[in-house]
Amino acid sequence: MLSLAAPFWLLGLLGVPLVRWLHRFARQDQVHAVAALFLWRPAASPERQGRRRGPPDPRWRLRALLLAALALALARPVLQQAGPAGIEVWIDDSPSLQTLEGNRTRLQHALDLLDRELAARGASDVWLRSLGNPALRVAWRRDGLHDWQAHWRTPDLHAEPGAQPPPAVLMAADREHWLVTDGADAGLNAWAGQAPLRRILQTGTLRDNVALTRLALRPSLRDDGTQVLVSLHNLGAHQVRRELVLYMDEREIHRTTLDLPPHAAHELSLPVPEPRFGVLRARLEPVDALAWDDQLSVTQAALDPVRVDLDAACPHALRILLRNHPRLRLDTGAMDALPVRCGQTSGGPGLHFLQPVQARSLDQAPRYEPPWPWLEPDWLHTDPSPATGVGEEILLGTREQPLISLHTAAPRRVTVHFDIAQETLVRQPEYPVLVDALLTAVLQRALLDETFVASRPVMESHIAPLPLVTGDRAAAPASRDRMLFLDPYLLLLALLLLTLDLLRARRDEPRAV
Amino acid sequence: MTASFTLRILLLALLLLALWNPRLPWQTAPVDLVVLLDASASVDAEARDRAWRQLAASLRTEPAGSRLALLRFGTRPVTELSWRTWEDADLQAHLAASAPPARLAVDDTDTDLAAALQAGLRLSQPGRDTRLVLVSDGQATRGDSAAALRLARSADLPVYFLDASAPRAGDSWIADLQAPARLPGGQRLPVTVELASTTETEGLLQLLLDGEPVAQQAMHLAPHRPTRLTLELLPPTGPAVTLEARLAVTRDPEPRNNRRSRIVNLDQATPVLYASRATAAPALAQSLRAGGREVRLVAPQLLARELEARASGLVVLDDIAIEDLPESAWQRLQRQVTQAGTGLLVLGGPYAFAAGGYRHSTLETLLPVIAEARAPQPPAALLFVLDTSGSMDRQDGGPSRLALARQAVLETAGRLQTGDAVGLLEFAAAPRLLLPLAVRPDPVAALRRASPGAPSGGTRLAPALQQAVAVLAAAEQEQRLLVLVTDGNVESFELDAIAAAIERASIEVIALAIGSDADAGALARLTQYNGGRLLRVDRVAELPMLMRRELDQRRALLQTGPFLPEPGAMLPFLPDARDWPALPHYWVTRERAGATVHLRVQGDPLLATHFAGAGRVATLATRLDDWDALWREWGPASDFAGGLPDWLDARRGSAGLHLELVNLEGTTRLRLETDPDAPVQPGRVWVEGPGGEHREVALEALAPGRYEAVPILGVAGRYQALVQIGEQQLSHAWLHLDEREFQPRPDGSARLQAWQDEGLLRPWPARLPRGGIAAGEGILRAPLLAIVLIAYLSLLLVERRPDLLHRSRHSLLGLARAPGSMSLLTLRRWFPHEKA
Repeated sequence: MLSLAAPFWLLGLLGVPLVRWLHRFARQDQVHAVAALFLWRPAASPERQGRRRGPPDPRWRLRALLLAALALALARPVLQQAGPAGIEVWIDDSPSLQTLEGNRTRLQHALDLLDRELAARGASDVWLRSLGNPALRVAWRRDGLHDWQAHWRTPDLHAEPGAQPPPAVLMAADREHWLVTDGADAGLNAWAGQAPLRRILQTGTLRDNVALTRLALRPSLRDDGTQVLVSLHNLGAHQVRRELVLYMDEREIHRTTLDLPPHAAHELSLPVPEPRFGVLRARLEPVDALAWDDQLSVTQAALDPVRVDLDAACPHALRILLRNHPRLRLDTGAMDALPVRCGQTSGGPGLHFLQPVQARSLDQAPRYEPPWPWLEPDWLHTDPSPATGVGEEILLGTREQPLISLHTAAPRRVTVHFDIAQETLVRQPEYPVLVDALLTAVLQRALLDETFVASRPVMESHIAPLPLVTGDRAAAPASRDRMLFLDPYLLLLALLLLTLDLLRARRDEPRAV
Repeated sequence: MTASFTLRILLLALLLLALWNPRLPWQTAPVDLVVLLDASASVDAEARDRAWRQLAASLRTEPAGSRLALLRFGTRPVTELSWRTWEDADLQAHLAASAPPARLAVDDTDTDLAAALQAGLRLSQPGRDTRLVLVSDGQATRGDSAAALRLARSADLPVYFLDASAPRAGDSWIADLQAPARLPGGQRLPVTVELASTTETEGLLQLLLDGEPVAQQAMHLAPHRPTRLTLELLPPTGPAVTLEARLAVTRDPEPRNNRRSRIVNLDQATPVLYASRATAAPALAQSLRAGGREVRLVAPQLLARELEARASGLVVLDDIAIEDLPESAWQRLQRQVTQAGTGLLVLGGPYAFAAGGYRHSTLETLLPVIAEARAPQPPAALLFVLDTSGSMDRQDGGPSRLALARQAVLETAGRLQTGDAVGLLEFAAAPRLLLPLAVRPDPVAALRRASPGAPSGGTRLAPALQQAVAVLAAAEQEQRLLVLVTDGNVESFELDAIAAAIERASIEVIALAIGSDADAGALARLTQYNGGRLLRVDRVAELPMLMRRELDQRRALLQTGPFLPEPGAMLPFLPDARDWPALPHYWVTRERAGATVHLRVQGDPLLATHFAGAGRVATLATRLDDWDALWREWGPASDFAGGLPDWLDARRGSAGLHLELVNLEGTTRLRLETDPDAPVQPGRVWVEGPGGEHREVALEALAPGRYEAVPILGVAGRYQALVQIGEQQLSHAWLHLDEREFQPRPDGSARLQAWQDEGLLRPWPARLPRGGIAAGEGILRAPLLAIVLIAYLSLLLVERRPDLLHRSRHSLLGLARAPGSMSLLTLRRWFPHEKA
């Protein structure tokens, strides 16, 4: 819609007929050649008033247009976008929106409510935005609300938790902003209080929820079994009784009844005799309104043995040790196996044991740094001054020389600069500890004490709605971005026309006769 | 060029000016300024104050209606001043001050420009003309600054930069100070200091422990080449010490980076469980107590109960025999050592090693030595002489005396070596040789088969002794042992002859006199030759042990000196020990394969260690009490007496607990490791901050045996955490430091320039326009357009109808008649048909 910011200046358009009138007269600066001086008078002005009338000067159009452009520019015409402003709906897609209330999730209730609101308003330009993933934007259609639900997925246990609302200045100023939430996230509610939101739709009434927040496995030190830790929280205001059931590969292995006081955490640990299994699943039964946090599972697939490609040049003791390591499997020549090389380094990845040329025992103790075991100087035979390569980080060394170094850049390589076959060293109980620490350094995994954890932040299981001002709010300030001022364009037009007029004026300047 | 043309040129210029629409110098527009003030340690306070004054001075021109918010930041931003209008007296007071307000504490150990910029974005309000002003040295140590700047650009928020850096040419600094966060008490403290400099200079490096200088060294610093110094300090004391390195360099422009500190937590030793049969505290126990260690001194018979009651970091067995504890107790000790890592120190004595029955025992499987000599001893002839008179049938609350004597014989025979001859003779009224003296492949089985008869009759010792002496005298073995067990009287009239025969035959008589009826005086006469010995057996149950131990001693397993120990493998807690004092005697053992021998005597291991599973075990085959007098004159004696138990005690601090500080994704966490097989326990963590404030933080179980707490670190300084889990406590101190702030970053200025080139950042102008920094909209366009409109219309009028001008002398175009201006003739020349 076009409007004028200063319509008074339209009076300037009255100059257009004036220009037309002024140009009704022929050009009077032309030279009329006459044969004699007395002929000058009749030739000069045959009209009654001494001026000749004829067809208007064609330049009047250009000049009238120029005047009109100037007058219009002064009036500041504004082009305003037609129709209602577009709407961006920020949807709180945190897990609490998956709470079942009346056989439907809060998110479904909220989307139904949103559908009705938008339909009542006749909105068409609507985008649905995710607060959990601000990059996600889906166009709303009256019959296509469920498209949004297709985009929603169970939050990744390791993803950044919680809503990530945008700063107010980053919210498009030319659109209305709505928020759909259950109000269970206090941080989001605080943002909503400050953000330029036009409307807030809140859903959900249930307040009680019990959540499984952690399931962790760790190998037992006493036997071949596994220790399990389960953490759960009663986030509701009432004491509840729930059954915690553990399934190992879908086989129930443990069931216990827990009385959980309100607003309290509970942790329990229990041994599982089996050292290895596929999936361990903890489940609260019966599930409550938010079933999402009533189950956690851990996959032990990573406990499969690590394949090692052991160099034939490696000492027998090392071979025996690696063969008997509970988490390793020798697989010579395998492409994806961890290379273990002895002799001179080939520069590739893996674990490299250098063979010292002038091996002699150390005369000073290496610096003791966990996880490396204490190594006596007598056990370590090495060259007097082994050199490390560029980009190598010393993991263990004496004051003057490196003993174990790490090539941090790809390919990751751990290099041992002392004789790994040295007889005294091989006999020590520190020997397997040393080799396991080397494997940990190169694999970046503690093979003999590997924990497997599935967890979720407690805050994500809060479902109790908090007070929030809902409905229509004060309108956001009118945005200049929705108005297009046309005066600069008219100014440009006037400039162009004046330039043309200037050029013609230059051409028509009288020349000396 | 005509006036018409010139006028059009002029109008064209006015139109261009209207299109540009410049702001007038006196024109004002309100603005919102978010000032992000870098309060990190790297920013020189003087430079920061100077920048603040420059900013404040330039902001005086900002018009009414403008607002300012001040965020100070280091690791995190804090809102020092929320939005204040220009008219606010408090704001004006701050702007007039020589330094920015700093009422809120800021963690200055890091610089996170990104977090500050994002906080500035959140503070900005839509619809307001907002500018971010960053007052910083640009040395960001964390966060993605460029991403935050791009975010600001996407929000159309200009970011200005006001440099608050100070020149650092010629700077020297401590680049790194390495020391262990935890150190077992009594160990030397390894320290590595790395120095760096941008210029060649000389400096003095000083190391201090808890403020006391402990070392200093002159250092030559080369430009852009780190200088490293590694040294070991004497063992510090106390629960935690502050290690500080100071570098003194003349004319250093940035002395703040010439200091670095670390806190070293010293693991407090766990109580030592010390088992000894001595009534007074042995020398080692006294030494440990003098060194501040808690020692639980227990008698051998109470050791089993103590082992069951509580776990210790170190168990010392000072002359303890196998018989002192039931087998179940030894198995418990074995589990504690091998599985729980309890250290074990076994000291020699008359009841230890071979004499204590260690050979083939559960205890021996833990030791780095075997309780026998390296080389086989010369064969011996051993004849047991048992009293089977009626009195030996007496039972003193258990088996009969004869039954116990038989058991003693069988156990003692188990210690015989290959080549030893054994025989058994019983006597009551008359002697009877049950087993002739001979070398036997299985002496125990042979003795078991040679069962004595039932006790009966009186006691006639003399014939039995005569026969025994005769048998032994005929033996070819050089060492001849007669082990006599009796509870009766001896016919004194025959003693002298028998004693003489014993002496001649080089027989060592070991007489075990049972009960008060035994004729001790007579037996003493029999044992006075060849090192014989009379043992009074008041408690019959001790008979087997006494007999066995005595035999072991007879088998040359106690060497009497003096001997000078020879150093072997280095002792980590006493690396430079030499000139060990002579020891009067030691008990012979031989080292186990894989054991480390640190001291030897005559080739025999004196001090040996190895790992038995998770626990370190040491044997010292002598008694420190016997060494005591000589020790007082030997300098490192106390280091040895304190260092050896410390070294063995692997579970320093709180038994089974390990606490460390880890930094994950920029967050400092306290990680606690406990026994993963123990039930999950409730835990609490208290953190004391630099100002003495205490705060409890949650201890979360991450996995079985693994807990974590996230302490809230407000400002730089010393923090101390006290962790309580179950009934155990552990403390850990650390310094929350600003070291990263002082690491010069050569790419800092280049990065700032790159951001400026990318348009993400613009320098704060040296002089602001009179109206302030906000551009606002120009107000010239409308007047200019109006002028052009009217002027052009007038021009056309003059051009087209100069006659009208002539008629109206008072018209606007009457200007043409003004002196020096366009004359009517001129107009006529343009318009020749017009008449005036």
